[in-house]
Amino acid sequence: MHSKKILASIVCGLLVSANGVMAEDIKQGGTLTVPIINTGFVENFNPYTSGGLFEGVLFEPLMVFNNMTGKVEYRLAESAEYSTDLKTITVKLRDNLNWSDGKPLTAKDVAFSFTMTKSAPAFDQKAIWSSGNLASVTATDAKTIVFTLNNADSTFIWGLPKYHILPEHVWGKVAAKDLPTFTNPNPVGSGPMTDIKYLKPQQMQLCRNTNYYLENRPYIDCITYRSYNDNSQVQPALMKGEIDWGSNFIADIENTFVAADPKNNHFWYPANDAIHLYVNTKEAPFDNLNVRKALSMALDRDEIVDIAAYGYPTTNFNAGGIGELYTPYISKEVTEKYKDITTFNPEKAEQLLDDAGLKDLNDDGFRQMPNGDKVEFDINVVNGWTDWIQVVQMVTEYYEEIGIKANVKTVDWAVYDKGLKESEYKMSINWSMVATNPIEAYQAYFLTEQIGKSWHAGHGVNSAEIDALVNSFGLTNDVAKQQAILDQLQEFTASNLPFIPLFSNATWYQYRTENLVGWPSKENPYVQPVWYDGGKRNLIINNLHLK
Amino acid sequence: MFGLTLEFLNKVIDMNKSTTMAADTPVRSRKKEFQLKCHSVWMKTKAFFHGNPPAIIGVSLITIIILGALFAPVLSSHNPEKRVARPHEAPSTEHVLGSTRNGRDVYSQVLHGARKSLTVALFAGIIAMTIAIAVGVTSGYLGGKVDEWMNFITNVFLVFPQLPLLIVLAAFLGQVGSMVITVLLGVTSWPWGARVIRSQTMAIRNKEFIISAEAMGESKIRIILVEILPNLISIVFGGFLGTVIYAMGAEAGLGILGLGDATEVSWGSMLYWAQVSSSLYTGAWWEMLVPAAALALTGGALALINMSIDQVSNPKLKTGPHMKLWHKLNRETMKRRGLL
Amino acid sequence: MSFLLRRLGFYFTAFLIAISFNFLLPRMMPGDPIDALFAAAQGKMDPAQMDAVREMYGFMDGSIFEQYIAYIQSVFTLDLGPSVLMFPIDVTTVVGMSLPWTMFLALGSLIVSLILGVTIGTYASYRREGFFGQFVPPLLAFISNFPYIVTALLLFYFFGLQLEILPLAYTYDPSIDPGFTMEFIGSVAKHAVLPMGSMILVGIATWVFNMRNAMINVLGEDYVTMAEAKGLSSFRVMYRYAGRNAILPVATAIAMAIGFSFAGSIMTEVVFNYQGLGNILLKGIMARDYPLIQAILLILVSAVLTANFVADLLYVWLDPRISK
Repeated sequence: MHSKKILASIVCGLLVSANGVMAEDIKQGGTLTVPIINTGFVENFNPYTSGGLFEGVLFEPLMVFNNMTGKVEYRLAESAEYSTDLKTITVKLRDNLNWSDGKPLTAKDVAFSFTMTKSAPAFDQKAIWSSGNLASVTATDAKTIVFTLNNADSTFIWGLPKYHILPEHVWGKVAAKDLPTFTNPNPVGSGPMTDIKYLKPQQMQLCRNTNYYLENRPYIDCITYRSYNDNSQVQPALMKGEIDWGSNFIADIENTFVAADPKNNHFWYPANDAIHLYVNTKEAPFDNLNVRKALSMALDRDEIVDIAAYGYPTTNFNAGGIGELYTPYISKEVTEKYKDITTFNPEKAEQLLDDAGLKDLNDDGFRQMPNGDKVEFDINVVNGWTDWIQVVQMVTEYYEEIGIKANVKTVDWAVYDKGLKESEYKMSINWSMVATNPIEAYQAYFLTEQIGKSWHAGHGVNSAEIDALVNSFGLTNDVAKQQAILDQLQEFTASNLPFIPLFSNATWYQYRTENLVGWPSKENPYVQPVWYDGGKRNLIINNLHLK
Repeated sequence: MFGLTLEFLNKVIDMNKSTTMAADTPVRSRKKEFQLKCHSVWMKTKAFFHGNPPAIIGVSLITIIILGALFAPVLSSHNPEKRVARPHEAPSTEHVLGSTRNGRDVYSQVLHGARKSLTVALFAGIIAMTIAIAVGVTSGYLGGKVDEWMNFITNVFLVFPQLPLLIVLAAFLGQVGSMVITVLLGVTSWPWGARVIRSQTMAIRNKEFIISAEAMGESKIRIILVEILPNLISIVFGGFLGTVIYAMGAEAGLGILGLGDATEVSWGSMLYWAQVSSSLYTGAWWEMLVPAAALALTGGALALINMSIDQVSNPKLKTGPHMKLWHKLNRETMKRRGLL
Repeated sequence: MSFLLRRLGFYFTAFLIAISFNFLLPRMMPGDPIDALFAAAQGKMDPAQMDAVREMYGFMDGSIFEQYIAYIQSVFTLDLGPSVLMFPIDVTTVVGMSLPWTMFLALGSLIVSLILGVTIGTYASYRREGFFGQFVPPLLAFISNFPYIVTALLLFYFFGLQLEILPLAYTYDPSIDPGFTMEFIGSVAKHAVLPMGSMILVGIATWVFNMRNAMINVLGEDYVTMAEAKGLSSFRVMYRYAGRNAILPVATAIAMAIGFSFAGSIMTEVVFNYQGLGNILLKGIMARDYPLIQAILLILVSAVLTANFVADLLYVWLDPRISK
């Protein structure tokens, strides 16, 4: 009897505590140390000119579009909704929001923050004003802001979190022309850490906002930023346990970082943006679709990922233009239908090249054009992006096997940038857009108005129908209709092959569980662990706590 | 080396002049003269090395390195530009010095890299010294306005910080091949030599044999080439070696910063790839330390040779056995005089 | 006096030439800082923003001539504009933060190698036939002629990574506050050992050889024999007679060495992540931060010119014959 009672109470106790691993049990306190790659810290708290250091930390976003879970995490905003004609967005703020100096955070501040970027175009990060689509932003009451658009656009809302919500009582006093150089001393913010404890050239610390709108959050007390020269400096710091969260490429991570402390040192590299080999389809022999297919089949993507990139990225076999970052949107039919293009098959590749008339006429081991002209081209890559240089080197080796002479050309960023925008390349390795929804990637790929402006539009495959198709996306809010558009775009991309898929960049993410837990991980993928994205950073900071 | 040979050959030519004056010299003694000449060259060379360990070490090292570079294709075990192994394999019997991150054989790379790096350094040295001689001798010999202007230009170049300038130029020119680097190095490192040559030329200029040559009506060009230059040989050679050492170091520095051509195989680019693949942190020390050692040994060897040449041209600087010999002779003399 | 005035005139002209070149250099090269800014962000910035940002940084206005005049003005008023890399902090501040460290490194290692080198050189000249004179100079010659970068790497690897007795990066421990505390000074000293050590190793041979060769030349002179015949102590002979004359070529070499060591510190700073001018220069180059690059080159040129002038002053003081 007695022991049964004890047993029961123990079991009860356990059950209660299992459920109760909620706010009450989580310890408060702790410091997160994060590496920042820069030249040192200076007293500049203007979120638009401080290189993204303080987004999500000093300044809370309205909401976060979580592409990993597919949900919208509402932060300062409680809701954000489109009208049925897709020309109005109504954003409602939460109740009882305050700035770190105690003053209330109202819709007036939000409306001000947006209209301010009209007079400071350098701050207009998503071009909401310069594109001409935003007619007005008004605070209709203390909690509500209404965005009025000139044309229906269901994608507009995704740009909103990129604008920082700033206190009007501070920023309203700054003249428009002084905004770009305004350093915002003694910053007033709404994020989880607003108390600048200290700022030294190589290290700075921010501590908790006592007026934060979420109760008991953040669990941790402070964040320390440590400045490093570049990646190679971050690696030993991680290995020695000086920092908790790394967001850069680390060489041979299992043997260096993880081996140093297998219990506490972890990494997780979910797929990020898709990397492609861009082909200039306006020039021979690349204007021949079969030649492009051959160039794709000649590559053993798994080997490239394994050897050139240590196996960290995710191989991309999808010919539709998007990779595993957008898994929910990938059309399985398209991938299946075109999978032979991305399967390693050098014999088929050689056959396609033979059929296209590219044969080795003079027996030097390399093919020529039907008229005898040499086939030789450079593959552009930026000097200093060494993992990509290694990838391109391997690509040239594969091409040599099928008789195509290609060279690695490392160029300065300026040359690379110009080349991509103005199609001054034969072949170039290229990234793609990371966004809330893959339509933005397709906008960058195919909209004719983007040619010359975007890095991703120079391949030469365009058409008016595709333009219309891409633009039609913004006219509907219906998920099924949107997916249908995406499917069509993938089919178009795979059948025309304007660029050759390689792999998806890895989201560089290392973390240590020695002091803090609550990290996103493979077992708990609650957000894509990107430090450089203010919103995602904000979610993670709010979830970390002492062990 | 070069300077000494020339000096010896000069002396040899002089000897030759006096003995072949007679037109009816029999063939047999000409052969003997040739043997005498060889013998004298050989004696002079032995004298250079005798009791001069730095010279011996320096010359041997440099010879090994140059031979390695010259015979790189024969001595290499693999193609330095192909992937022949797994990344970062430790040194083994198949890959004597291990493999790089890209799976390339370090041993073959270091041999082929020697060719590139030595060529760049050598040609940079030649370019620099040629300009230095041209500017220094003209300025020192002609004097007057010409001297003032050239000296001014030299000084301006001298005060401009060369390495940062080099880095800025290399960075802005983008993917610079080794040709560009050679020219850049040559064009930025001549002022040192020019200044020294100028002062030496000015010192020689007032010597009697120059004045007599001018009095005889020899053309200025001939005076410069035949009378002045030979006397500058050791300085020029010393300066040449110094520039080569500097150029090698600069190429390595630019290389590791990624400002050279990372796709060519040279010691600098080997350092770059080693740096980029964090080879020191991942325990693949061979990728970084092999080219570093190669650079170190080459630089050091050249410095030893430079030092020995100093000793030959300025006998007062001789140390070691020469001093012992001198002391021994001195003691004998004193004994004879009854002073000891 | 006229000698000094002439030299001053020369330095001023050289300065003008240097800054003009400084002005032209970034403008002749491809690429502008805004593009480089986007390189780092790898496409996360909207292309539509670029023109506005360009204007913000002030890169658009005036003809080349107007820009040149404005530049000259800014040089003499030390108003060098905002840095792109650390916007909106202005360039003078950025340079001001890092210059002291480079000076510390360059001058510190110069002084140490000078003192050590001169002492070793003198002793080596005196003990020519002994082991010291025979072995040490060649050894130092060998080690000193490793390229800067190689010495730095070797020290970094063996003492920093392998033995872990000395720190690998920074000028001082980032968590310590700068100030005249023992803790801070100790940290600075500890962090300076390897970088300075590598620069000393590279620089010491010059002094050893300069001094040794000069001493040897001088020791053979008549007045030295005379002094010895008079019965003066060898210490007196070495330092007051021989040394004083031998120092002259060394003094001229110092001027050149200052310029060289400033430049050489770039490599050391990169390997050890030392927060000096060279490090910032490299970052500025990668980011095409023209104002910063120009400012740093300006500082380096000024430093070298000043050093040369000081050396001239020194020479006049040491050798009365020159000022005629």
